Amino acid sequence: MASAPKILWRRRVVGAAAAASVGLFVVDNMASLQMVTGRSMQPALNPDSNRLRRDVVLVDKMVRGELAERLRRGDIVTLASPFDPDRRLVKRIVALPHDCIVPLGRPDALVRVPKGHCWIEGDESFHSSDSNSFGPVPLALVTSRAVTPVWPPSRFGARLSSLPEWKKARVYVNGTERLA
Amino acid sequence: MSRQRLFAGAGRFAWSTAKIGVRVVLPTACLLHAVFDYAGEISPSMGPSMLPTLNLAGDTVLVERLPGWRRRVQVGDLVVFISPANPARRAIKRVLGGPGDTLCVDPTKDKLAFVQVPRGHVWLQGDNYSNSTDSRTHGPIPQALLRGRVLACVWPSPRLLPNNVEIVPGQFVGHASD
Repeated sequence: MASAPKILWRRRVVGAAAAASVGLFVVDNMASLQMVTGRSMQPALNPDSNRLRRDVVLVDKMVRGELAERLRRGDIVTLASPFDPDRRLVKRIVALPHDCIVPLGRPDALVRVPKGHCWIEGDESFHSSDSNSFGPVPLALVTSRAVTPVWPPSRFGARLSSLPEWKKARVYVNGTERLA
Repeated sequence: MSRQRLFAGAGRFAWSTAKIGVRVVLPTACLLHAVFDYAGEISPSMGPSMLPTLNLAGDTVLVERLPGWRRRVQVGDLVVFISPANPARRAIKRVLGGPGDTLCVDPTKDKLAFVQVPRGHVWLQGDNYSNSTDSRTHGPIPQALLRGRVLACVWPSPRLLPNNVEIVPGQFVGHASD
């Protein structure tokens, strides 16, 4: 027969393990905070080039598997780099499956985004390696969608900008109608 | 029994059920999910693409996902991956080439095409070449789409699924039905 303090400790340990597993599920599969490094998404994220000021954003992780249908053009997403599974990119979705897009720097070309893929671009085209260099990427690489910055405090809850008009003008929805 | 007491009883029952759900069922489900994500899982597989290694009607396989599994994936291993054409679909295929390898896209074609697998990608093909949608249509698959290494078949006929592939210079020889 266990003594009273022993039972109390056992309850505490089991309770902590239960809370940790629920917390891990939420952080892995529903929502979490992520730090954004690099300048490819300026000025929407990391508007200050100073390396000490990095944005922390609240991300929505319910965009994987069948939920990839929730992704929209203009969403800022984090995705695994197609060339390195351990590296994470932060880009903006410009075109969705079956859209056609005019790549940057090749005004005469028209690329069709294949089924299950998307076209991603950084807002700062000069400091970004994106679909303009490696082509459309599978939507399955997308791991989360940025909702709002939470750090620095001055930008807490700020609205993330959407797709600029000049980018919309390059997208043909389903290959027919121009987005803007 | 009066109507009031009946309602009170139903309320207490709902409350205790909810308490058990939050205290027992929810953490257990989350713990199981974490084990699936960080250790491995047992999952059903279906389809003709891996015949004769895996059954047409469905085999249940053991998928390993312990830390560092990505580095342990070798040419010849069976892997679970997310289809690049449909993020909701998973499939099992065999790794036929890693980053930097050059291989023939389809040896059965008259005009042979060769590709070099880019950095961070793998070349996947089903064992049933005549009925498999794989890297021959998708192209090289980013390693980030891999979701685990298949170690064994647990049901209906339990057996290990070892990497029994030989690479002879100039060609690939698989002994899938051992």
